[in-house]
Formats: sequence, C-alpha cells, structure tokens
Amino acid sequence: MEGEQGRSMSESHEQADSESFPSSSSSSRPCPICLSPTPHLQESYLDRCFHKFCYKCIVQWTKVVASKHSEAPSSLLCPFCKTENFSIIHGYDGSKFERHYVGQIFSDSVFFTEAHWYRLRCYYVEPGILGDAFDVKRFWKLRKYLESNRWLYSWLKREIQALMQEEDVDVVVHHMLGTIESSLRRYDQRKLKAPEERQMEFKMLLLDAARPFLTGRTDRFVDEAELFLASGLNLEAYDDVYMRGLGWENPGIDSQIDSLEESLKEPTDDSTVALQSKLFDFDEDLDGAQKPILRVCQSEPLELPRLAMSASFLEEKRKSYYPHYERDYCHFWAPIRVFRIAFVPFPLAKNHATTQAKPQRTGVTKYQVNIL
Amino acid sequence: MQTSRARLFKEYKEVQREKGADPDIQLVCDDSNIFKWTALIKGPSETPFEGGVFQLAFAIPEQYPLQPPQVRFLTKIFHPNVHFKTGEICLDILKNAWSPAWTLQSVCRAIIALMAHPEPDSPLNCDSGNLLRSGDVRGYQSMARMYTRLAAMPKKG
Repeated sequence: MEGEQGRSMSESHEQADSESFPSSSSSSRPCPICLSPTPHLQESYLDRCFHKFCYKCIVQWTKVVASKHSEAPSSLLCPFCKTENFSIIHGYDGSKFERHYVGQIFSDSVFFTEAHWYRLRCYYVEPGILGDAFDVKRFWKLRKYLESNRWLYSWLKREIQALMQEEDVDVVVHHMLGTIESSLRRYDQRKLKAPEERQMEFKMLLLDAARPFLTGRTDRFVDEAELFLASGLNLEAYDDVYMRGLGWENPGIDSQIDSLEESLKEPTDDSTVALQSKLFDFDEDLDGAQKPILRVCQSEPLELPRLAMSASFLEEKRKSYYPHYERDYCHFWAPIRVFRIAFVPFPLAKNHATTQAKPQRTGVTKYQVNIL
Repeated sequence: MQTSRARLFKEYKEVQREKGADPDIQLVCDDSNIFKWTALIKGPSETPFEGGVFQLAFAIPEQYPLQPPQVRFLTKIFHPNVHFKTGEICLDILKNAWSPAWTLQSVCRAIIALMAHPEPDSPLNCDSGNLLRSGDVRGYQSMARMYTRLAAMPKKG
C-alpha cells in the first residue's frame, strides 16, 4: 500500500518534472514558473541549487514571497527544490554577472520594478549613445523648457528611486523638481542669454542640488534629466526610444505600450498608416526657430487621402488611448523611431508647407504632421 | 493576466501531448474559459477510494502561477482533509506551501497522494478525522468505502 503512493510531496513533484520534460538537458529546460524557454538575456540562477528561471519570473515570485512576510526575508526557497538561496545570479555573459541578494534588493521590492532596473542599467552604458535620439540643442534653442513637463515628476521619482535604491524619495524628488522648475522659469525673465549659457546654468544648479544625494552618479543624472526634458515624451515613449537607441529589447515594462504598438501596426497591410518616409520629406528650409514639419511629397499628391486616412485613424487611436489628453497629439511608433503626430486642424495649418500640396477633395480634416 | 494565460496554455498543450501518460488523471479545460478546469482522478489502489472516480474543479486565479489554483472535490468524498459538504481541500501546497513550479497535473498527483495518506490532525471533516484519531481505522475505511460506492462509482443496474 505504501509503496506506490507513499512518496512524499516533493518526490512526486520531482517525478512530475521529469515526466513533463523528458530527456531535456538542463540548459534547454523551460523556466518552471512560466514554462516557457528562458530568453537568453533573462536567464538567472539561484546561488545554491543553480536552478534556472527567467529573471522576471523569479523576481516576481520573490516579491510574492516577500509580501507574505512582515519583514523582508533574506533568503528564498527555490520554487523547484526548496533549497534555501540567498541571491539571484543574473546577466551572466561569459565573463561577468550581476548578483542580487534577496534581502538587500527585495526588501523594498514592492517599488523596485523592472523599469527601475532598466533605468539603473542605463547608467552603466556609455553616455552619449543616445545623442541623436533627442535633440537637446533644439530644446534650449527653441526655449522648449518653457512648456511645463507633466511627466517630470514621475520620471524624477523613478530615476531617483532607481539610483538611491530607496522607496521613499519624495523629499529628494521635490527638491530636484523645485530646482529644475525654478531654474527653468528664471530663464524666462532673461531671454537675452544664449542657449548654451542657459544650459550651463541649468546644469550647474541641478548638479549642486543632486550631488548630496546621488554623489558619483550626479553628472550622469543631470545629463539624463536634460535628455528626458528635451525628449518631451511621456515615460513610456521615452523608455521606448531610449531602449531602441541602446539596442535593448523592451523587457515589457509596460505591456500597454506593446499593445498600443501592436494595434497601430495592425492596419499597415492596407497602407492606412502610410507614414513611411517615402510619403514625406523633411522640410529642410525651415528656420530652426520653427518646428520641422514632415510634409507630403509634392510629387505624390495622390497620397494625400492616405495621409488623411492615417491621421484620422491615429486620432481615433489617440482618443481611445488618451481620452483626457489635453495636448493634441499622440505618439506613433514607427519601426525606426517615435514620431509625434500633432493634430492640427486644416485651417490652422494653413501657413505651413503641407497645405500647399493639393486642395482637399476628401471631407476629412487635414492634419499637419510634426516630427519630433 | 497575460502571463497566467500563457502559462495555462502551455499546460494545456502539455496535457494534450501527454494524454494517457498517466491513466489516473484526466485533466480537461473548460471549452470557453482557460481559467476553469476539471479533473477526473482515480482513487488510489489499496485505499477505501479504490475503484472510484472523483471529479475535481479547478478555479485558477489571474495571478497564477504566483497564486495557487483553488481546487475542490465535486464528487462527495469521506476524507479527513476534505470538507464533506463543499469539497474544499486542506492541503499545504494549495495554501502557504505553494510554489509556482507546481502544475495542475502535479497538483492532481498531490491530491491523489493525500487521498492515500490522510492527515487526521488538521481535519476539515471532523467525523472522519476523529475516527482515525481514535484509531478506528476500520470504521474510517468502511465509511469512506461506502461513500466511494455511493458517490464515486457508476451505478450498476
């Protein structure tokens, strides 16, 4: 009687495993949590039993375990074999790896998300790689900083949480926010200063404000803050551009963005979203003081309705995704970079080159398309 | 939500592939809802449940596999760790000892093991637990066998 069924739970569990994945070598064995093959960059191991998991999966599980304890546990039982482990080995590339101690890292794991990790990792890459992605010069030259950036607070909060690895950073965030806003506003009254001068002044102020908290990473932080301000993007779009710039895969920080991207990609087959470069050329003649305008190629006037279609399609998307959006544009993910589509009704766009193309025959409101 | 769905889909495929590999367990997913499963398990041999077929209902939370599935017996069973009326199961791996490495299939195996090895010290069915705790194995076995015949075996004739 005892023989067949008398196995302990863990044994029957082991048996379950060996049955589910027969003859698979340990390297190709799927992650026991999501049961999917682990993407190469996601591979991580527990330090004692060396069972392999997706980094995302094991971190999630660690958070669940931590949330059940009143105090952050310093160790984690392997979900697979119940061995006690103290750290997660992650990002092994043959020569180096990262080691995250269960107790240290995940004591505040409730706030420290994948997005924080990604931001922290950004500080380990060479600065300046993203120089082209965001136009910092234009930001200063065109006094873009006069527009208030509503995402600055959330960006600062995440950034400082990532850098200080602390959850409660409100005081620091408000300090920085105050410094940034007051310094930017102050420029308002001294319009005569050269953009470079303003930029320097802004940087110096922020450096002073941030140094006591961020120490060695202060300089980089100031550059990053400037980049973010210059981008004029919201967090998700910014992350997306940033990661594309670094050639990183988006680790699914925000699945909503993916779905947005997906839904925008969907109709490409019928060329509704005809925002391919062949439809547009950059208006190079425009004075730097004006926004560069993407306009419809004169040589292809027939494409106009398609643009109108794509614009109305995008606006529909915008409405469904950002019903309360005050600013009249949405971000559009094209394979190469992020476009910001501004929705300017036809009469207002009159002065711009776009309207010279052809009179509208379709009843659709015409849109001016601004490239970011 | 997405991760749980993806994982359940993997399990579904695994179940389809391994069909018949374990004759004691038959897992079926609801036609329209991947978060609802039922399982038919055979009572383990040399126990009072031998010869019976028991139906289990799985309700899977959206946080699965970070949260355990909710499992209960649909078939009436006389067992110290199963609530006689609701079919609720008292099993550590379905509560605080849950690990995301368990699958629906392995949960079924664990339940079969629990049927063979009741834990009378944490009873959901006190009558059944008391019989075992007072050492009346024979009384427990005959009650359990009776309910297996009544509820878990196809009616003859």
